[in-house]
Amino acid sequence: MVTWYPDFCPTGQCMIELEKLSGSINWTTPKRLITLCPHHQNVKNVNALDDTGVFMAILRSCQAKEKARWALKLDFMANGMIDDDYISEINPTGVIDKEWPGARFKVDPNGDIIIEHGTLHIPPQARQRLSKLVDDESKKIEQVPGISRILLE
Amino acid sequence: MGKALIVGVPGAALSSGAEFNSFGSASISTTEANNQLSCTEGATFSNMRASITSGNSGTATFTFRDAGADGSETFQITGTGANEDTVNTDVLSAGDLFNIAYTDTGTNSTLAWLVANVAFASGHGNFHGACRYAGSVFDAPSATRFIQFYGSLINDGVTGEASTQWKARAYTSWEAMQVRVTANARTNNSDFTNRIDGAPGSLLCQFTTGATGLITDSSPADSLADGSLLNFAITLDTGVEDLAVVSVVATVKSTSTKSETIIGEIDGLDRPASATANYIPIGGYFATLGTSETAARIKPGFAAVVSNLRCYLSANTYTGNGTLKLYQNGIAVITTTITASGGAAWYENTSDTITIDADDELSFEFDEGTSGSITIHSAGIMFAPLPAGGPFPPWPQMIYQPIALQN
Repeated sequence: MVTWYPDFCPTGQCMIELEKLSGSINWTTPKRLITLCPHHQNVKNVNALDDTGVFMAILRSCQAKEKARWALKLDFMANGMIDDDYISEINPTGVIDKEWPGARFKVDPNGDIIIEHGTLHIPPQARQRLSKLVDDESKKIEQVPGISRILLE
Repeated sequence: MGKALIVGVPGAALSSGAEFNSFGSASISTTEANNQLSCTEGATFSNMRASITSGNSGTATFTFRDAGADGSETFQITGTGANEDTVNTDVLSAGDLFNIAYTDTGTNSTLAWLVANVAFASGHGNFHGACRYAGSVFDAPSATRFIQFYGSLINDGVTGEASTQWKARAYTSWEAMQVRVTANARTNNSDFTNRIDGAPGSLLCQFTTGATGLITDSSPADSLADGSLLNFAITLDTGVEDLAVVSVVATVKSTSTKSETIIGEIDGLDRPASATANYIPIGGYFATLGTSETAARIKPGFAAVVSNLRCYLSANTYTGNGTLKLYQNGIAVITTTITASGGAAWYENTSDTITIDADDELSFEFDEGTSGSITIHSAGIMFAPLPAGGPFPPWPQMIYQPIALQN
């Protein structure tokens, strides 16, 4: 039995059983919604989604979040930005490089996914450009009913 | 349904608000989700305990977390030293997420270990896995890499399988595996599988493009034999985008009520031959070899017969025999010989056993070698239940010893 626990439920925890195929997993439709968190249950109700519909809203939200975080990482690497939390034996300067594990995010009660920059040294003049980058990249993912908004803090 | 031991070693000082778990690790994360693991079996957690070796100018509080809420187990440490919750337990249902929260009122704490006992509701077994809660980036395109059964994670895993394998003695089935991914910019599927004796097992945790979170697979279980070599593999498709992984964990069971504890360092740690002994805990992760036996001690927390003291070395150029010893309350009780010039191999004592009670403390010692060096990847022991009747000599001794004294 394969179970997916998404990592961006505002409260509670969605648990989704996926169908295991031969050497693969069916990511096009859920086998069973074991539990929906209150937010995603509301997404299902408000948008009159079936099980596959709310599963796709969750998956596409996750993909939009990752699209935006990856674009930010590439931008940060290109501009030599520093993350105070990224101090390790590999990179004691905190300069973001390819081994940086990615920007943090939080989730608002309404389901908006907010990419955080609390420990990042982002120049004020770059904020607007990066916000647009996050918006543009997240919208490259298929927009389905109930998909979360992705925002820069 | 007896207790087993889980051990975590934070690789950095814990700051107030940190989250952790009793597996791995080389790093910490303040994001709770990064530290949450699935209790794939219904289980009771008990005797949560920790040892603070430095820092903590105030009072540190450790709290078991069940599904993102405070559980029952909690304890405090003021200054340095160890403490334990000997009263409360946390009973989890299969699929519940668990972790441990840390707060303090002073400076950050450096821990020797963070330990708990776990008893499955059905059958007997344990969780084993590799965790690095800040995340390790995997981005090697079109490649299969290997991940070990213990300790921390490293970026991209390992190309050679042998140093990631654990020679299991206790377990008869591999029931489940779970993987947590915290960043996924891959444009195709990323597959994690379990490995048994160098071949794929039946379990698969697959992340499609952009999927993050925790995936568990609990069927079908794989049978294991005494001496099975266990590890994980990750296979990435084309592309150099990130997959950040924080935990890869197995659920294994024993029909004979046995379990194991393992400590490891996947990069391997060199130990030049030396007459100065080095000590490490019996579980978790090690980045250095200490010289204090006392600091390395961990209490397993249950009575057992302990055996199969063993280690895997990826290199051994010692010119004289070295030793791996098990210490019980500060006294060496089992010795495994690291044969001179033995090369990359398992070194194991398959004959000697000891009996421990619930309060005994254990540690590992590496020593000697004349010249040359060894590269240590893992070390561990097996716990078996006591013979019927408790921590006493077997019945024949109980009967015959008085007769022998009379003669």
